Amino acid sequence: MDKKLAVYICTGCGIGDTLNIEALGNVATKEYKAPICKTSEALCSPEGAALIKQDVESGEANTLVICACSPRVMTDVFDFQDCIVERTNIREQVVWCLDPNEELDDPKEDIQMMAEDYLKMSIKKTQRRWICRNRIHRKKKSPTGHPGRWAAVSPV
Amino acid sequence: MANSVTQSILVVGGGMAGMSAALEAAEAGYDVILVEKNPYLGGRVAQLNKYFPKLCPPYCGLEINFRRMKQNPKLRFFTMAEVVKVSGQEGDFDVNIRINPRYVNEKCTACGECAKACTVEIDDPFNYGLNKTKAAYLPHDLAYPYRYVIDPALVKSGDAQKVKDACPYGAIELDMAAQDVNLKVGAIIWATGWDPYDVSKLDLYGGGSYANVITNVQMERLASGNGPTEGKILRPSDQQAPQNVAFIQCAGSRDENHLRLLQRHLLPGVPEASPLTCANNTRTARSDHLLHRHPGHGRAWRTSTPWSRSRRGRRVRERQEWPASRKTAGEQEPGAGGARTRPPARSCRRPRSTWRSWPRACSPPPAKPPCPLPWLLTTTALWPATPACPEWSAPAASEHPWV
Repeated sequence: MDKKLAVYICTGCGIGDTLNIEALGNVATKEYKAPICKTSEALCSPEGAALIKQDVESGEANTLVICACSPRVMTDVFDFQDCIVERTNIREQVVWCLDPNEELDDPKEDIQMMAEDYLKMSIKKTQRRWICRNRIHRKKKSPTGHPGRWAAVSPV
Repeated sequence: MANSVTQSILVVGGGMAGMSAALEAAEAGYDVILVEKNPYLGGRVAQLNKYFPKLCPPYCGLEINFRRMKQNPKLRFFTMAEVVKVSGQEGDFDVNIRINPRYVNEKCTACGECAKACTVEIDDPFNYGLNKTKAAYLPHDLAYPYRYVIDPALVKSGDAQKVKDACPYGAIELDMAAQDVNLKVGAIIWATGWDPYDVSKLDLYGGGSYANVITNVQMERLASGNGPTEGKILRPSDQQAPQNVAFIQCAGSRDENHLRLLQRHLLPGVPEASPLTCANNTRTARSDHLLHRHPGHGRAWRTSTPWSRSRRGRRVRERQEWPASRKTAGEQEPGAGGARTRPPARSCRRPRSTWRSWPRACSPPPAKPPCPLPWLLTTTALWPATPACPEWSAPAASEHPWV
């Protein structure tokens, strides 16, 4: 099974106002040759999720890099079966925590650079990962032999 | 639950206890429904500064549970929900749950535009009313679910439409109504927790009449980094650092005039003791860094064995690493990695040659001076008889055979 990389960038929650989304997309398409790079006003909205789902179901993408909010939130929305899902946290860790008016040499460029670095890290991480089904759907064997907490986890 | 109609379990209360119970049950294969009154999970533990027993921030443990919840399809939870009625019997309960309106649907991304537009302010329930918050608010910084809440006070006010228009994602529904859900469950776990004692009832200590008399849960919020004072201990009356702090232990729980109910609730069978509050106050005093951060306001003490003085600490320090195995290098399996690189495990006792039976403080006993003569010559019995000295009467041979 080949990895088919697709990068999705959310522009909501102030991300689009702070970052140069086009330049961020170019990192994915030019540098890492991602065949799919799409942006959305709100990736977590039903329309945004449908955008990703459409690509997954048509078989064009199975390695998803989602540049949006923290993986703590919207976990159920970005849960795609049989895909590597990598959440790049450019909302909490870049846009919300850095101030574009800060006394830096070039704050805009620094923030942009940070977001691009996070994106590069995520793409690299997906390249290193094996394709496997989502963890919860695999039957796990407990290291101690006692069924314990894994007893209930059945393969789907 | 062998003969029950349904095997699903209802857990009432989404605090640390309820969450743990629900997760364990769900991971053991049952369908679990968790019901929480607040708009967030975590309960009182989420409101603490640091929690027992490790004195680490509460989100250290809560995040682990949240992650387990996200991964487990068997567990569903309702926030802002209350149990209205329970009927039936063991194995076959009918439960009626009311889900109060949050006025915010699942489209919310927690961007915070509604809070910016809102001008109505309410007492922050998460901080026990120590500060004000906007009526469209995130319960706290790390709330799970990470979604805003709109207070009913805002919905009634004229500000509501303005707040709704500010939301770019269409997440605000002002006409959301309370929803009733009927469930059939086989068992119920009641983990509804506790409420802090109303400090205004403690008029003897000036509770309610002095602003600076606060409860220990409010103290936790003051000490907490995401609290109203960002972790500084400040007097509520004038927002200045206090000169002296007194902890009144068991203030509510031992008061016989008020607290029959709470006592029974906390400690069944023990009418006049509340180790919970005493231990908790000690923990508060330690963990709040009240004493550490403000030297001169009190004494800091520690009760556990310091790491540097413990056996294990010394062992780790000497070996400069964590002991992975008790086996020495020779006993390791040949395939086991790391044995060659790691120095052999040593006992933390001193070698036997250094053991002494005398105390360390005194010097060792003097050694016997070596005897210059062979043993036979020192045995006087073998000496030839000597003539008796006229000035000195020798004892009889029978009495002192050795001399």
